[in-house]
Amino acid sequence: MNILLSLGEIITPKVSATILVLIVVSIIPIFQPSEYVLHILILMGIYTIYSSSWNLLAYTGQASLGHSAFLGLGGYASSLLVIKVGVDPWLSLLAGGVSAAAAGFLIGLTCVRLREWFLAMVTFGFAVIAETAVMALDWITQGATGYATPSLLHNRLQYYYTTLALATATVITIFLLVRSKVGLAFSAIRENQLEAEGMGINTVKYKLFAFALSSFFAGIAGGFLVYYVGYISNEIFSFHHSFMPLIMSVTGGLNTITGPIVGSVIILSIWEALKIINPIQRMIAIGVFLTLVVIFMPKGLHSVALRVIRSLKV
Amino acid sequence: MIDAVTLSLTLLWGVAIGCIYILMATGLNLIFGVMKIVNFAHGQLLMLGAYMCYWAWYMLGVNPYLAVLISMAIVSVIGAAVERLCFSPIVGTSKLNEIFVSLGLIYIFDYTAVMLWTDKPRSIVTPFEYSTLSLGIVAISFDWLIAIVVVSTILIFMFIILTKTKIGRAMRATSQNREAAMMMGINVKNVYTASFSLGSALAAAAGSLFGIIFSLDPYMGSLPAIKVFAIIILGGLGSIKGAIIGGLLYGIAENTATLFLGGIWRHAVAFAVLIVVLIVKPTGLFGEGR
Repeated sequence: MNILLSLGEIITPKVSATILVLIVVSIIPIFQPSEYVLHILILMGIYTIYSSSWNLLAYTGQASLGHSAFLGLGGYASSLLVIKVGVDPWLSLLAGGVSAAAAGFLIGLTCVRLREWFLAMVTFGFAVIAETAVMALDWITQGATGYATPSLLHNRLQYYYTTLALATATVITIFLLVRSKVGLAFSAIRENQLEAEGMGINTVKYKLFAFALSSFFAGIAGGFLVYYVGYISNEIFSFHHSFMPLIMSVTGGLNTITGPIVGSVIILSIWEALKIINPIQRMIAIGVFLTLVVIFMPKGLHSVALRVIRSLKV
Repeated sequence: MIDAVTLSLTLLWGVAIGCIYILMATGLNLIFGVMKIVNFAHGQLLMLGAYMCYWAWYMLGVNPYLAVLISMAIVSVIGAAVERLCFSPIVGTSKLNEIFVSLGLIYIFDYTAVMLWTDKPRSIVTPFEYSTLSLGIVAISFDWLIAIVVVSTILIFMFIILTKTKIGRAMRATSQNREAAMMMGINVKNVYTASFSLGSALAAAAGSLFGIIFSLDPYMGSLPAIKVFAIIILGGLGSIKGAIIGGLLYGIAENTATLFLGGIWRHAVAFAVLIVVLIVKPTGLFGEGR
């Protein structure tokens, strides 16, 4: 009886929903989806890691506009370690994350005193500087031409399950962190930094920690993305890559765990679905979509979903 | 070796570009001051302004500098429409919504321009294209000089509007205290639209000058816009003095960086200046501590 009771406590609706989703995504390959569908699903997974890392930083109220700096750093560090030094590719993935985290820590140091737009512009600036550095070091990085990277795995199916594992690990780590005391400190800093300081929270320490951890995950996502695509060039630092996690997190719901996941699925689906029209019209349609989302759903799709669930319960 | 002529030309070039930055920065700052929102799509208004000036010159055959006025008038109307449709509903909500809506607008404007006018670069040819003014050792293009004069004139007009006219006073009142302005019988919504439209007109002027000095294409706006945003951050959000000094500083820093370090460092140096300033003074050069 006791065992059953405690099981009931552990298996809350949230946990069961998570398990259900995990089961569904792990059996998708049984239905033998085409390579194309698998490819999109892998990208969704990688973007989930990347957007979640951005969202983790946003938990502390620090909205970065230059997250591509960490994505690119992870990508370059890990692939260069394999090519130039001969490190094991899996180890290099970790090394890419760690070097992105180190850079994130240093950038975080310049950002701790900055608020809102000031912070956004400085992070954006670091992405521009990172790209310039890659272009200037073209004898190693081959600048705009880029280079091909060795592959990590043999086929798409392996990539699919690895992405799934990495994304799950990332999301669960962030979930546990946000639920812990550290997460409470993050929220306190976001809501009111002065009051948080008054409660004895070391805001600098927590902000730097969030910066380093967020960059770590972004670096891992970058390394994995580069191995999966098999190619890297300065394009990885583009505005597009910096704004993507923001677009995805806001679409899915800011400061929620599910936000980045839902957001990356929705945005990538729309992006792919719009491939039926020509590229120029597609960009216009994306623009119209973004504008409408904000005007009609200022709190993201998440709030709409919550409203629907609430109305169903009543 | 870099001689005195090259150096002085680089500095002058920097001042000319700086003037275009100042125009945009003043517009963005005005919008921020009154509405407390940031329009990342300001560069797209610059692009539209450049195209309006181009078409007025190309189709109607008017003098390019007269076309600047036509372009300002058209873009101010477009700006007012954008404000009413897109920014008015989100004033006072999350900062990220502003970025989001601006991103949407960037895509819409950029690619509509590609669709309508293709992405072929174009240039506006003025009657003074090949005339230069000799100043001792250096000869500078007439167009640069005119650009500097045009910018100064527009800034003076803008100053007069802000200090002497009723709508200008309403804008300043709203920027200082929105609630109090409302109680004084100011229609804040209209003031928002007016400031946005004035800011757009300034962007259009900047775009037209940009098109006259350099060239124009549908993607021309994004980079200047983000740099101008960096400039107003550098100068301190809402500070007109900061925008002017920041604009000149950026124009000169960029060009000397290109001269001494090479073209790829151009953008990085501009942002490095911003980062260094913010490390020393987190609210910008002339920003009030808040």
